[in-house]
Amino acid sequence: MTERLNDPVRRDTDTECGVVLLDRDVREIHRARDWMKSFWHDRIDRRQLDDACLVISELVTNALRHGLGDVVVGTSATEDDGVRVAVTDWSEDRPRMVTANGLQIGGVGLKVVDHVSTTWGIAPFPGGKTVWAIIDAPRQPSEAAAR
Amino acid sequence: MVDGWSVEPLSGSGHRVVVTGEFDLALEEMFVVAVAQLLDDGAPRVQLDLHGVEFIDSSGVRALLRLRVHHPGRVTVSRASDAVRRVLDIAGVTTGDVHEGWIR
Repeated sequence: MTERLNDPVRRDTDTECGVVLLDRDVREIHRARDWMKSFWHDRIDRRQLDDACLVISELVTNALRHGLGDVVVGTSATEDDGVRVAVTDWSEDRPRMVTANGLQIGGVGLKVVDHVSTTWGIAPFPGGKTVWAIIDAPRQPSEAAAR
Repeated sequence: MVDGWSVEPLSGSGHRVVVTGEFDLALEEMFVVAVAQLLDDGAPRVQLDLHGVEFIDSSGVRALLRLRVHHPGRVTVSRASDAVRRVLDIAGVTTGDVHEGWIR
């Protein structure tokens, strides 16, 4: 189930998940963040939402810079109030990140994703891949909200 | 706030570039080219004022790094918010830079 960003936000309130299809245009990165904000507005911790927007920004950027074809963004709630985000594109090439010992060049975006998310991964499929990440709810929401 | 930047003369010499809005891939290339042009035109130094930046990701960080690498000692970053500073820290660009005066 996909939709264009200029359509109303689609939200399944029972399962708390949403999907949006992006054009291959750098301005869509900003719009993907706005979509995340409108989707989760007032439903999750502010810091958690900021982090989810940062992760979405990095993953969509990677999909536009290094991926191919349409970019599909999805988000959903996990069982313990975490936010899962996923970005799919039609390139089978794996993204790279800078490792702690600096063995690989490039991929600062994934370094940010790795730092901000609780866990992340790559789910390849024939003809493409989905890169996903989970941003947990803060253990003490009131403290985080006061930041 | 509109994503973009404005250029002001800096007291003494050089320019202050005030960045506003959200700093991502959509801004990176245009911004690097514009600031590099100021330096190529003879500005002795450029101060990048980030206090109006509401969001930055690794593309914005990369823009700052590209300018620093290609114009060593002539580009400084100032007034980054805590949120912006956090991303700079995560990207690893602030380590040691505070003491060198690159980021204030």
